[in-house]
Amino acid sequence: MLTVAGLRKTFTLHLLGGRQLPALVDVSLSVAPGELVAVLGASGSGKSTLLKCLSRTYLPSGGSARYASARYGTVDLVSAPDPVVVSLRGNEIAVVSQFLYAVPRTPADLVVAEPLLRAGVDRTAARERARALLSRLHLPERLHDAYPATFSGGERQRVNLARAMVTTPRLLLLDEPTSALDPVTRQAAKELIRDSVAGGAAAIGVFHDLSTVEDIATSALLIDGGRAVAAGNPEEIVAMTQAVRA
Amino acid sequence: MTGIDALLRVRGLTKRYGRRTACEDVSFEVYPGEILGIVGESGSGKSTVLQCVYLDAGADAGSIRLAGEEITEADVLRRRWLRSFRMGMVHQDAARGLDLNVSAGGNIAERLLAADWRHVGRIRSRGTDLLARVEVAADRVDDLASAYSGGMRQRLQLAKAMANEPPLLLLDEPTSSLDVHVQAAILDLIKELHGQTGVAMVVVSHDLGVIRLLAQRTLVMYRGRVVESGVTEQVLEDPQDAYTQLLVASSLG
Repeated sequence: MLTVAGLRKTFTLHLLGGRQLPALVDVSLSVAPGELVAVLGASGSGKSTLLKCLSRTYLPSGGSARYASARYGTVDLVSAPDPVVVSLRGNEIAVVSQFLYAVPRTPADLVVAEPLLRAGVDRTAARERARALLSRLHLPERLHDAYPATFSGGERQRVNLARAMVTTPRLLLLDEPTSALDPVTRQAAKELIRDSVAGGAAAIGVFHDLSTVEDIATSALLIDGGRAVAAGNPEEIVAMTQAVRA
Repeated sequence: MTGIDALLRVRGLTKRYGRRTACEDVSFEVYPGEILGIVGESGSGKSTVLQCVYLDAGADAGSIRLAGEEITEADVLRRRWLRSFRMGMVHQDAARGLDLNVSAGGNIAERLLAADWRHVGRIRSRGTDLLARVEVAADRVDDLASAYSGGMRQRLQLAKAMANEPPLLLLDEPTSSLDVHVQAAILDLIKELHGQTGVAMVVVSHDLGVIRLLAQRTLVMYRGRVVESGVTEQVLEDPQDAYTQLLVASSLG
């Protein structure tokens, strides 16, 4: 579904005299339908940068990321035209970031239903699906029609995750999607992600807790200093990171 | 893009006022149903671009194709038709888009008459429908536009611009002269109308918050030129150009 080869990202800070900050030096990976690749590494190693380059939240500096689109055939996410990226982000690729940009003055269930509405689903049906998903993630019903701008971090995260999952995406990019959730809700979120992957989605995820990696990842990749340094099954890679920390 | 024709295609657009160049070599596309943002400081040329597209200002060079038709050479009649059926405009200053000495209903009727609507009853009911879409109550239809508040005037401009359901709306700083809470209501309305009708939009604003809320793709203009374009989120999170980096770093939100 997605094959990343030699991905690079260097930030140029013009306000600091053009200082160059290399964030990704060389990352390659591939993920097939039904797979969830967990990306591990110390903070600042480039995990989030990798995900943001794949979602084109950041503009990659080099390399390629060949994605098998249902609509456009093979698309290199590094160089795809902006309108194609917008269309993929709306229809095929779901991004769950750690921090939700809370759309002002839009109730939670509508935030979640919006991708369905854009896809032409009738308003009542879309809202019902959104509410069912929010309930599955243990968001109290009294919050379904409230504004996420007033929500706690964990509540926002649930809205964020529900919005990403509501359209049955083909590729999931998950940047710490469960970091602010309590254990019970985290379990529900993990099951939701696992179901989506079992249903044929491909996923790449960064998770702050290693038990999530062991529970739901099908493989793992270790990043250090912007380079992929090891890949393998989740238990092996988790053991490696723990050995490094010890 | 892959198989989809652009609704609007601007190539090498240049406009000079005397010796001053307002915009130079500006190129971009707008695809059906999308919202394109144009951001930049005052004097960056962003409104000039919109005025040229709306044929309020004549381009000195370049091409503007709207729904496949080159429009830079359109004569007066054709221009009037284009402005009714192909594009609508919402000005920052409502007085430019409305006749303030005429009723709200009359402002809309003018657009319908231009489209050869002749039946008074139908014009009236269509006007009421359009105003309802922008959340103006039916009992205000006969009030003079001059009696409308700033926010209501923007609603009226939106209704007028959409009277003949053109596929493209041009919005020039649509909320910049409004109080904050009215701004929010108008932005919500613009989003709502976009969601309901799928009309493509070009939104010009100096306010990154407006651009973030509305636009999927964004052009950044500086000193008359496009210095950067990209997916809105990328322009805001990973700006490439020195000016955009300064703009984003200087923004409050």
